[in-house]
Amino acid sequence: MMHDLFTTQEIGSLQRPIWRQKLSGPHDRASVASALLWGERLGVDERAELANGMGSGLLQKGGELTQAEKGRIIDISTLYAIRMQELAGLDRVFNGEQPRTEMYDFMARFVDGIEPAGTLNAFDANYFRKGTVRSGVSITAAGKAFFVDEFDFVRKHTRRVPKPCLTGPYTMADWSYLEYYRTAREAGGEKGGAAISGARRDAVLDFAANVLNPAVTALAKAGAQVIQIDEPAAATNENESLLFVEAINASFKSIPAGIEKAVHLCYSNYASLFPALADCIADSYLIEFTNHASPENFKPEEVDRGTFKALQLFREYKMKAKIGVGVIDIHSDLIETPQVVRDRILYAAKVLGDPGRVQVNPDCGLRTRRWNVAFAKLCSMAEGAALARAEFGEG
Amino acid sequence: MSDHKFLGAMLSGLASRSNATARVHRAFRDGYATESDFKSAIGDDEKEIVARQDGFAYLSAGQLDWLDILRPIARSFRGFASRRSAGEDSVGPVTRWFRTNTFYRKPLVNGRIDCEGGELSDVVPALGSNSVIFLPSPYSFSRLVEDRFYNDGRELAKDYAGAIAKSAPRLYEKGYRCVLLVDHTVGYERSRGCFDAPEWYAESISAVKHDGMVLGVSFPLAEAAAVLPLVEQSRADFVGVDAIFSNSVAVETKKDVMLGVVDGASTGIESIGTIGSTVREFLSGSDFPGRYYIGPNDRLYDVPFETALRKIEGLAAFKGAL
Repeated sequence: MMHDLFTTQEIGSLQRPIWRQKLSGPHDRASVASALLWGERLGVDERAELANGMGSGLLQKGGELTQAEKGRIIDISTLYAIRMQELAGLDRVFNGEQPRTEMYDFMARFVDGIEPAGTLNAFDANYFRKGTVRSGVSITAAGKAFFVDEFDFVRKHTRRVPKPCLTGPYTMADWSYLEYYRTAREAGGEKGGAAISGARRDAVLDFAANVLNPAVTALAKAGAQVIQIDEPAAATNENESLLFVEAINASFKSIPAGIEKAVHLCYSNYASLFPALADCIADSYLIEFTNHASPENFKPEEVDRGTFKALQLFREYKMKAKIGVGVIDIHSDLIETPQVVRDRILYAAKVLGDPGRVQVNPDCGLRTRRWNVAFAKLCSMAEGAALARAEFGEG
Repeated sequence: MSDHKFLGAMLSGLASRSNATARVHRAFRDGYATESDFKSAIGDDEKEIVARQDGFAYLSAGQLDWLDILRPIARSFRGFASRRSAGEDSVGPVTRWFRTNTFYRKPLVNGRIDCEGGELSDVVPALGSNSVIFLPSPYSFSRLVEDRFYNDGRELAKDYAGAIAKSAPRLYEKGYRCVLLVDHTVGYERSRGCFDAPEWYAESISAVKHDGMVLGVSFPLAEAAAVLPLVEQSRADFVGVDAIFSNSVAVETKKDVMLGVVDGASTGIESIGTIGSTVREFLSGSDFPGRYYIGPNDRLYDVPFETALRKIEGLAAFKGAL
């Protein structure tokens, strides 16, 4: 049953299981056991293709696997991810980004004009890849096909609402070395900070028009009811909030009403996006809300002041968009109780002044957590949402 | 120009880790590698970084095992809260590092900041007798933490500076001869039009000074001429000038200067010719006594490891010949 009130959803990524990470065999006992255990727990019949009593499973084979066999392992890990979200009770699901590398790299592979540059540390043990832009950017035909294939696969294997996600134009530009655009600006006589900011503008808008919009349009034509653009970099430079909004609007240009245009933001001062954000055409914003709080008790004063202010600003500017409130800390193994989740939801509903505008999600993708922790957190999230619904007389 | 003396090159902040180390670090987090594996990978990267600093004024291994520039301080000094969990998240919430896709854990100050004196020397490697350590400036530190104790930036900065000064003798024993205080906050706040220069800025820098150690202050991503007056009356020995970001490198200072001539946010490798040209422009347009270092304009944390190595090689190749 799909819940209209406090709709629950994952943001995107789940950790890739060890047997998905290593696409060559044979796998050791622990890896095989993990695949079978989770397969049984999640009710994925295809686990027998991974390992079986005859020793003919994909994880039991020695040597290099064929491309088809590697693809099948990725498909099965996608099924695991879908089932995990379904079993936890989420209304919207996707593939846990199992077919992808990571959020910048997988997009960059489908963009003409980007060369891989290397890996950088974001924080703790989280790293991201960066590329160097060598020419004007545009999506490849393979890229559009990839996103549609991903969506079709999930739609075929779930009764929940599939929610595809794509890395946004501002983030793609911000995480790239914009050598092409900077050189062009410098050739036009600009230097220093002026050339840098000019290059950023050119790149962000090119990513929006030539990469994101074609991909989003293809997903809409394929039947997606909700499409999420991930913009963790959104508030990186508060002087560029107008540019950010311009880029999101260009990315969603010509997408029919009725398809939910979602934007995920995290670990930023969201308030800095105002007042520009009031002109954004997105229908929902999925934001991190819990990062600053302790997991055992919900205390309103622990909500980050910037996040709190942003919620107030959504109300103040009379924006009709829904707000996906991050109720799960993705950087801690401590499991939030359903009661804490409920209290966070109710608090956000109170600040926004309308429970009907609140959606429920983790702060960000759960890729940082092991599966047992991620699953427990998602279960708690769904239970907490149910408790919150009960406060409004909805089961 | 002939009066100007070149003192050598140096890094100006934390450096990035290699792809191999990133893989091990992730595997360590996910339970597939040990802490020892991670430390070993870090050690390999550090050797690569140090090996390229031939002729540098001060050596640094890039402080590669610092998960951010505040973390070891928040973990080992007194006065900081520890969240209930025991892992990487125990220091504080994930918080964006200025205008980058990197983040730090925001420390929560809930008591008077102090230390025993050996905490910092325990978390930096022994590299010989001429090393540099990078630390947040007292002002920047006061702005990057969440203060629930002092409610007064000056007092917080003063105690932080005092704790750094208390750490200096042990750092000296370990071969550290230079402390570079890094201040991203001033440039950031200036760009937002919200920098209100505290009257205690110079005083907080001076409080870090330890006899026998050279003290520098750098201002990445700040217009140099506008920010150097902040430290002119301090006991800092040199000031860092971001020659990449500044629209003009013409400055006036009585301090020595560390000229940031290598771009810490670009994959382009600066040639000796480019470095020389920037240095010449600076020397001919500025008014200062005449001793200078060169280095990156910012930490080499925002470029891939291989790029950082090549940039360090470029710095080492410049021997001051113009």
